Amino acid sequence: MKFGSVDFNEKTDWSKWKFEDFKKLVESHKGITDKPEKIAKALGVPIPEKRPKKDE
Amino acid sequence: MRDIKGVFVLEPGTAVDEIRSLAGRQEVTMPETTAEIAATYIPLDRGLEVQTDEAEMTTGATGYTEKTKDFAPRLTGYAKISEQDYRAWFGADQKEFDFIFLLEDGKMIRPPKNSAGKYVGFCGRIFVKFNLPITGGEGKTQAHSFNIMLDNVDQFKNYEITKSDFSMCEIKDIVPLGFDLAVQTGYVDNTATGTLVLKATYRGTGAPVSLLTATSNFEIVSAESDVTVEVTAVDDASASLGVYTLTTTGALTGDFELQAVVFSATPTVTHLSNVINIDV
Repeated sequence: MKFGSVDFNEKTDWSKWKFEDFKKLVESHKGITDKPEKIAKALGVPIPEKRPKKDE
Repeated sequence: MRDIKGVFVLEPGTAVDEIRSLAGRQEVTMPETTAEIAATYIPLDRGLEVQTDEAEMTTGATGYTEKTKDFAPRLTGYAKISEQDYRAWFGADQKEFDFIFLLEDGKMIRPPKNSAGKYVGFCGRIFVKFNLPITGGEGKTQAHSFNIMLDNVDQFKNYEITKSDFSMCEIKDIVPLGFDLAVQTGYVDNTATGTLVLKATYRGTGAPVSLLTATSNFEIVSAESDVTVEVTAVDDASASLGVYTLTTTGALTGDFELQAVVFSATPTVTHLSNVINIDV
């Protein structure tokens, strides 16, 4: 699955990845313009849910 | 009979239904995956020398001389291939293969079909010469020698000639094109991942190979310590220079070996690189 200049291996078990590591990987490639969250969702990398702020 | 111009080298035991057509040859020389490659072709345009031993003649006590033994044919062929292509054969030294010889007019010298009615090759072995690259001069024309020794004289005695549908000029298109793969920046371990920069160039011209755009273009051949190594991502932003940044499995403890491959749409293996060792 290709995003910008980077092809991600679809055979990799991306569900075992930590999102922080994946984010670093995506951000290290300047040829990717999509946000890490979008790519993570497409590949199945678990994205941590954001907690609501206390005053909400 | 015309001169031998090349030899098909087959994995031992390779048996096929059809060898006359180009498509039939491609099924074993450039199949869908690298694992399925069962044959290749060595062009012997630089000539060959037949070196079969003379038959053994024995004279008995009565003075009667008779032939007591025939030896299986063997030859030294000089291949029209690059030094890097020849190096790729170093690993095949002394290995057993099956052989089918190709004549100048496209005919093939092959053994009779096997018991299952399929086409096979003559069983034999291959020997290469471990030598430094020869620089210039006439010696260069005989730089890439292959000693091919057939193992079974009886199999050869019954050889048959088959006319192929293809010409000699078409042969070069039925084997994957070799190209050079080299490490530009070695393996860097980032714990979660490893990164690696490789450069791919064509052997004849040194021009960059710009075709390695997907993770499927890089295959892990083997890994030390039997660990699982994966190419998880490939960045082809500098493909026009032949430079690729690979992301692999991180925190590795042993080296691994990598090969690059290009498939056509079919997919069929069209280009194949040397295997490189990645120091970890």
